[in-house]
Amino acid sequence: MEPSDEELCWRVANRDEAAFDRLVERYQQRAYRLAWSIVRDAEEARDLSQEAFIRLFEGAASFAGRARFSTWFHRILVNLCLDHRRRHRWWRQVLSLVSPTNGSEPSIIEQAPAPLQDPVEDIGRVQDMRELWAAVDRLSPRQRAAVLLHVQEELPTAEIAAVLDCSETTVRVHLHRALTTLRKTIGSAARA
Amino acid sequence: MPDMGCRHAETKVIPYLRGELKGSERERIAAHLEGCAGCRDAALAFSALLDELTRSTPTPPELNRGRYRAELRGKLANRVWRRAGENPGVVRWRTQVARLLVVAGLAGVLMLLAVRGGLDHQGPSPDLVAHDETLIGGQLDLLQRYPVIERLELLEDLDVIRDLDRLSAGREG
Repeated sequence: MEPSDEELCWRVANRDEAAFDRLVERYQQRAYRLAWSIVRDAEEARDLSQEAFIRLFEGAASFAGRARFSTWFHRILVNLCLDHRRRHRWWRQVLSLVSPTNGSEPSIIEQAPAPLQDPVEDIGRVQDMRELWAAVDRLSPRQRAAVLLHVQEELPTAEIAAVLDCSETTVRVHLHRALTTLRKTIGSAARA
Repeated sequence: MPDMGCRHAETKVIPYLRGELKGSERERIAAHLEGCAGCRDAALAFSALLDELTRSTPTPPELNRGRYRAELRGKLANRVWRRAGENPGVVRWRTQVARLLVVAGLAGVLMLLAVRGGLDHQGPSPDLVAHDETLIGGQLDLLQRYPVIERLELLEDLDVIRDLDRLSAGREG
């Protein structure tokens, strides 16, 4: 029988490297994807998710088991990503002024799933999607994190609150405000 | 302008759409949405937006898992190594620096003590000076009578000289 994440984490606290490798195997893709969704840079996402694993290794003994392991680990990762964005905000703004698009990263259109419908009909949809995700990127860091944990990780409100270290009501307000902003953006784009 | 019911619904619409509300709370929000066109439209729009976001979540560039783990192992080893100070060269270097600092500190303390001792011998402290001045002040009247004392001593010496012959005769006898 496969050991649970929590059990593996307790083994990591006793410096069991095999248990650590097992957790990395289980979470590396999810950690990298979530980090990328927040920072939007592949290299930084790789570094930040690796740093989260290192923190996990170093701090496994502090995992009390009150929350699920995934919640605890997401909290480490999201905090690292939000801190990183806060620290590099000014640099990102300078870069966006110099070069509005990053050539090394695939565009939103390229990242979108392959179209299943009539390509002509999809042109409008892809455009909407691009605007929608651009609007997600412009949300406040915590609103964006709440939306990503909701739609990408499919975490329930209680877990998002545990990850972001706030109340469930605060998460609901973040989501409500984020969706209201996105709705307005899409509405104004559709009218234009 | 939303009334209090709409404000209350603001934080409940998304949990309602996600099926996170139970029992009477769920029924209350359902009833509100039925009666409030604004909140109903918002709920429909939110539901469509959440579906769209879930469907179209962008995917990051492909991750090379082997390289990722090799990098992670390297970083972890580096960190653990640094924290535990397992590098013998670094440990030896740190020990030598610590020894040097201790020796330098001791030498500094000794020098400080020597300098302070030297200063103490160079001159009396202000307290001693004050004490001497008090004694001299007390004996000042003796000093003023010094010529009288000097004369008395001279007379005494003359008496001794005068009696010398008698003294030497007595010894011989």
